[in-house]
Amino acid sequence: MKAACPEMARSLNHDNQAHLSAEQLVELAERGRRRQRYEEYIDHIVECPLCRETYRQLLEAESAARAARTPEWVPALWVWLPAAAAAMLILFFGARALLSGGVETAGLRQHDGVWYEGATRLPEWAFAAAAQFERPPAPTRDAPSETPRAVRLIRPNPANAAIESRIPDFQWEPVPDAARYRVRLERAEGSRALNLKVDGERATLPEGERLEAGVSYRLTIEALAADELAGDGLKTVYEFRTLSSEESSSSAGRVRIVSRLLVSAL
Amino acid sequence: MIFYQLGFYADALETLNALPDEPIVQQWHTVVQEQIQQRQPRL
Repeated sequence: MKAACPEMARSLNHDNQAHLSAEQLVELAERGRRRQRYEEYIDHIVECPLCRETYRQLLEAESAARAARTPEWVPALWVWLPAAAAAMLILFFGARALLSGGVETAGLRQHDGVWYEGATRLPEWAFAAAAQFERPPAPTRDAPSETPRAVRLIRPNPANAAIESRIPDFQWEPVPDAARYRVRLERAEGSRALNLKVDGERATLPEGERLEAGVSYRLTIEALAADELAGDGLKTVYEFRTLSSEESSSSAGRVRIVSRLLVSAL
Repeated sequence: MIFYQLGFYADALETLNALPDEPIVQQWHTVVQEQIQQRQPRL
């Protein structure tokens, strides 16, 4: 290399080099500030395009070499540790589900076709419910289309065909333009209709009245505008049944046990 | 499916929603949804 920067060359080394030597540049790239005369070399690099370019390329090469020297297991550990833990959990629970046949969990077990919770034999309906879960009824596929305008019952949930309470509290969405409501309840097979007590968008049975157990009822809610007479308003009919005494006495317990049966069966 | 047997279709649906998305659960979903749709009120 010729003396392109003679002043610097004199101060850089004693061989009157115009540029930093290859060894000096390499050492500078490798050791950085730890290299003796670092500031002096950098001052030269700032002013000398050739050394600057060489130094830049050396820094890139050094950076690549450092990355290559980094032990591979460090990033691999971060990546693989959670994956290995997840795989072990899947294996553990999968093996447990397979070995138990999917039924002997949550304290429930089956012996000679009979279900037990601990040492307690579960009742007949529990077996039936568990068995029915494996055989859902065939879909009917004749669902009616959505009704365009109606008084929408909120409570009890109209999606349910049965209600638990014998003193229900009916509640519906407000109907625009409705000035008042008229609510009637009668047995589904026909009987004298009972007028319910209406308060805003809510209705209750008259004082002292209660529904009979195991009976189907028809509820008619009529929304009346200010100028409409009873019978001329927007009427919507809901049908539901009350639980029988037997059903309502055991339904809470049924729900608890069957829910556990169903979850354990899966 | 005690909820289904008793006619508590909304509760049955809620229970099914908490179960894993498996074929038998999907079949029950279809059946219960249809029961709910059939319970549209009459005008």
